[in-house]
Amino acid sequence: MRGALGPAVDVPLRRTLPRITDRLALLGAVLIVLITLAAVLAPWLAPYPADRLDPVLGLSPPSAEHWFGTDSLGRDLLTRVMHGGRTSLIIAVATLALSAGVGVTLGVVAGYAGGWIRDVIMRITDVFLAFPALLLSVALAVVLGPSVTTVIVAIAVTWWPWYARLAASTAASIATRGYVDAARCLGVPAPLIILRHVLPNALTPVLVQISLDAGGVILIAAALSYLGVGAQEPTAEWGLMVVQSQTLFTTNWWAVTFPGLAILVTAFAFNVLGEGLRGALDPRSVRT
Amino acid sequence: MPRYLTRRLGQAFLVVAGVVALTFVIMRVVPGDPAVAFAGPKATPEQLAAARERFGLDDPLPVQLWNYVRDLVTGDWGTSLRTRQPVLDDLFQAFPASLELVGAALLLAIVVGVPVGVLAARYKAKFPDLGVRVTSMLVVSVPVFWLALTLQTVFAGHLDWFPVAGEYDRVLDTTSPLTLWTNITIVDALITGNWPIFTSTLEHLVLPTLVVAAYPMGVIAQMTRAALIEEAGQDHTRLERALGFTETSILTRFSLRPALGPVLSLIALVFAYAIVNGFLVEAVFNWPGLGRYAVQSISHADTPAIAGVTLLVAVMYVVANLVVDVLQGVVDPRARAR
Amino acid sequence: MIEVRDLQVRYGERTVARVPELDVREGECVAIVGESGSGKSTTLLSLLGLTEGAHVSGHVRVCGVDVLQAAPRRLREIRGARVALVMQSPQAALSPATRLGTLMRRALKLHGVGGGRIEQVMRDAMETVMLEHRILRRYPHEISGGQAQRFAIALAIALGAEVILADEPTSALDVTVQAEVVGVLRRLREERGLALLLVSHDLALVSTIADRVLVMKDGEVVEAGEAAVVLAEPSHPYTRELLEALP
Repeated sequence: MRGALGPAVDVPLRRTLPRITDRLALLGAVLIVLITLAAVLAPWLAPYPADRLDPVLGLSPPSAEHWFGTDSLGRDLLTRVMHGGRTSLIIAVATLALSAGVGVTLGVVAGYAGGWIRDVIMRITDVFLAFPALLLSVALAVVLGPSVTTVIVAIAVTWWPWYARLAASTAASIATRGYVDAARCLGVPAPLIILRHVLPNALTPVLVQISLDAGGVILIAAALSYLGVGAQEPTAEWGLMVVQSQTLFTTNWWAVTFPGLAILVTAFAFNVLGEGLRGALDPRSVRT
Repeated sequence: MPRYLTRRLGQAFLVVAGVVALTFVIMRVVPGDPAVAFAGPKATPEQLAAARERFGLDDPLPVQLWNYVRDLVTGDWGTSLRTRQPVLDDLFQAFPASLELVGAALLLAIVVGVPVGVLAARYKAKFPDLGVRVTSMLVVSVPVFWLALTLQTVFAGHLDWFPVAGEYDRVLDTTSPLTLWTNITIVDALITGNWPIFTSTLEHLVLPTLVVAAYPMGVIAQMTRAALIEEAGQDHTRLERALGFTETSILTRFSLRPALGPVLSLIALVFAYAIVNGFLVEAVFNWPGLGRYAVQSISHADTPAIAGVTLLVAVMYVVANLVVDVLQGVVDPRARAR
Repeated sequence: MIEVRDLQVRYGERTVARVPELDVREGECVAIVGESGSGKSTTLLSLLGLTEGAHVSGHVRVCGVDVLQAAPRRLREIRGARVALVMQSPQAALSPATRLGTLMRRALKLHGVGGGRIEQVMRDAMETVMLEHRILRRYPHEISGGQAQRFAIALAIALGAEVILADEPTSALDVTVQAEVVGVLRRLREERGLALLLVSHDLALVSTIADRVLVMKDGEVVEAGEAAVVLAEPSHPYTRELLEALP
């Protein structure tokens, strides 16, 4: 689905927001608000302290005291899942900010400048995009050593080219418009034109793309942790929680099921919201 | 067409060159001391020195890059720290099983995804459409390793409908040994008429195939739907309607083919995604492919092996894209004319 | 063949076309003229029930079928087989990945033309519009606009249509090609008694072929009558404007 998105039109985001009547997207938005609240307020909302061990209660099934049950160390899974949300959201926000920052900067420069500068930057994105995102991230993560920071850097390295391309095509179309030409003729310096005219307009499609990508980033981050090259104990991370309990799945289903569901619901929420935003912004895209 | 082909080949070559360079940077430049990567994290200072000597790590970087490219081209992809085998041999051994799994999954994804997309487009904004949209959103949002674990536990563990893991029952290697032609088990079993291994492989394939197919299925269904709905807005559907064709036959007989172009170009993307998703799935189902190899290499910090897998998959991806672009010219006569 | 009374086409609150009366008899050619946005194309499409998303009311009878009341199945039977549509942009009206012959063959089968006869019917139809038979093996992007338009007419002939609804059939064509297409249409009318309902903004074309004319502006019929009379002595100022705009 990524890459299939052409440059959207430059409509200010706030003007299109009320048009999102898609109920599915609305569901996504509500879920994201709930997940974010649960994650941000985890230290206060969660029923237990984040890393309270209770070996006696190790691997107890869901009950009134432990809604999601406990893991093999007796930690409350609901608490861990809520804290895992913090990790996932931090990773998603940092990764997307980093890749959008790098990507949009390079993309806007490429699109505005055109010529060989654009060619060089676009060929570089081709190379990065030739790697499936997860694979390049894994290779980098192995080299960098496992940690949350590694996850952020490793995914951002594979992700920025998408934003670069998107921003470049939007910027290129804006650079040919009358008011930009006029500004150029009046001797307004290029950096100012970019900041004043090109960047704000190139940003809208990127913002939509970001909301579409958040789900993917969360999935890849979980996969990296599952593979052992991402977050490490005692960080609460959903993928890590799944891999730690996978051998116990048959007898202790809750320890794998709830963290997995958390990933699924979060990714789903971002995906439907992103899809709805895209539909609202891009008149060419097909909406129901 | 030939000119288009040459230009496209040239592009692909440039990208492959870039891929090699990037792999080099990741493996040799990013890590603080690449010697550690080659000798293993527990290597003694003597071993490190030997590695430095052996891989010419004291040479200037351009020389190292040149040597790296030369080695790759001559088939020396390094030696795996874990298996102690040449990486290229390991890759060739593991690749057919991955191809088998991903091939089966993509086949399933297309066979299910396209009709489902047609269904959604036919009943746009009605119940089937909503169902397809929600389901396809769910399958692209599900963490693949978790889906693999869940299906394995439910359908292999609890219900015992399918085998838990492996490619086929290894006992069959002695009772009805397989003659290798293509190294793809299911194909070899089929052409040599080895039914015990064929059925066993088929049984083992079901669950991992379902898991790997989930994502492409969702993406293909959504893309088919979107492409068809866009095609339905074209002028020609009005003429077809005016000729008395039913909505269903307009979709399937006139709109599907032009709409398949964008779907096809997506399949290259999806193919690469499926291979890499397959990594996580292979690890869960102990499928003897590239993925299991990669995952084992990751847990042993086996850098040469990881570099090999990365490079191989990236090159495959470039080739897949190339093939799709050429195919697109065949399916959509307009693309040829461009 | 076509009988329209009190036709009204609305999109939501907006009425885009209102036609109190329109009749086309066998062998007759009626033209609806007006500028774009006047509701003439909408009127044409509503005769086949092809105005998607619109609310259509009134009384429309085409080839004996009550279009607004008929079941979709009944409607599909007359579409193509008895009433043919020729559209403005000929190539866009043909599915890009379907060979012309395939399209024609499928349409013939759909309307029950049997296996053995198909090839003969196709050959005859192509001859009638003076297209070479090998054109049938081409894709839409491989033929010219004039060829595409003549092919659309050939489709109508092959299917045995009694009425042709033509939406700006010549406006996308070169002048010489226009003459060819008009020639074919006129000949069909004379030789086979086809009824022709033509939508056009091209008064020169209309004056050479139409028996009667309806002038539409902003969704309303402002003038109607014999072509010769209307074009010679327009009573409505808008018609005069249109005529004066002629080169």
